[in-house]
Amino acid sequence: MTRFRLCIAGLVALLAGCAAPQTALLLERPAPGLPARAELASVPFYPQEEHQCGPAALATALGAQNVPATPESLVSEIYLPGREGSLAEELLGATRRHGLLAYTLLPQLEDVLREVAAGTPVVVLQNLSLPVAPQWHYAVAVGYDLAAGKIVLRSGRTRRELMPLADFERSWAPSGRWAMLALPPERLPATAEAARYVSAAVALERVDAAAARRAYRTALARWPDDLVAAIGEGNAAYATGDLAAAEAAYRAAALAHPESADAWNNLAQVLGELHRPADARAAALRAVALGGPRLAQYQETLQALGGPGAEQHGSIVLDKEAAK
Amino acid sequence: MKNRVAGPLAAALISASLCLQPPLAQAGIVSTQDVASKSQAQADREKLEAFLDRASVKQRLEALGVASMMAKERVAALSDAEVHALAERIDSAPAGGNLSSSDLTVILLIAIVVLLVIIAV
Repeated sequence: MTRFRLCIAGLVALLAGCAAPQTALLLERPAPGLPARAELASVPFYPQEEHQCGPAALATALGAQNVPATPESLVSEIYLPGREGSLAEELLGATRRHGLLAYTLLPQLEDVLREVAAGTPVVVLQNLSLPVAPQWHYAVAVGYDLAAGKIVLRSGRTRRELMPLADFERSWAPSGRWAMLALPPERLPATAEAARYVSAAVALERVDAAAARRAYRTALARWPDDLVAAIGEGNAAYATGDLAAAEAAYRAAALAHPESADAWNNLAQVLGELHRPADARAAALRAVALGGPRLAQYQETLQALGGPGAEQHGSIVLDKEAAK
Repeated sequence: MKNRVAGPLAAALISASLCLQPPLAQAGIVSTQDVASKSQAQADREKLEAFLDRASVKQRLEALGVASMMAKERVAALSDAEVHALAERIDSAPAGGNLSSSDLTVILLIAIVVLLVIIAV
């Protein structure tokens, strides 16, 4: 079966005559810091049933992070009967539903290898057929060997499919080089980019605020100046009902980004709920004074806190606190 | 002409959004998503779009064989950008499935035929 598939991949490559530019570059000039070979032998393997490569690949990626899931249990979460397959977006969604952060990689072969070398299996979407009659297939990259020019995949019914990197790249390119990681929120991807990672955390917050809170903290450890992560940590704590932690996060965000009206507004809201009306009003006044596109919302926050006239008093209290 | 269409359309959208009440963040708190978006107008537009997109993607999932409750949960796990992408191309987006051996045989046959044609020419 494997040989059969490789044979087809070879034929397809021959017919399509397309190049594998990233592979050529990578084999010609090894990227600095990238180990020559790596393999994650302990990543589990779930031989796929008919049409179920999505659930099998996702179960593999979740299992590698010790999240128990079987392909059968994932079918109802990602399989789409009418399409006889699974959509990439739904793999991301299901990853979040299991409390992990779903991170899509930049479309670079080198990044896939870097993540594998760092210990994370990578789910990839390939087209194993001709462009005119695509056969989309999910596999999980678990190893590679640059000297041999091969990648190791958990794929279909094959535990250890060795595919030439160039063939892999040709089969992977049609999906827009789609690749994703399923990561515990404490772990940053080896190739993480701030904006990409933080927006992955924002998506996680929709589904699992507690997990997102950990992801925001991970982001802040690496990018302490990230405003979205700073407010996100507060929002995630607020969503889980931990108002004290939310206050601390918003306060840190407001002190690090005094120009962020959003941070002051959210701080005001949580202080109000913590029954500290004077501090709350002071923060709300800061938000209103800064203004911006969400001024109306800040004004609502201020109004809800009630009791105007605490203006001077409030800002003095807050400035004192800021000075501490 | 443009206004004649745009006016009622906007009115319909606004009344739809008022009737259906898209889920907003808790009163008072600015959501992380809003903080991340470039402008409030953009955030508002995206929120309305995402709300409509979610309804349409859920409907499509059901039409494609997903049970209603599950479709709702599946849509809820997607980000606004992902929902928007699916709303536009859920029927054509790559759906990774399996190659059955009969599929492989057909592909191989096609490949051989094409190869023969190329050689013949």
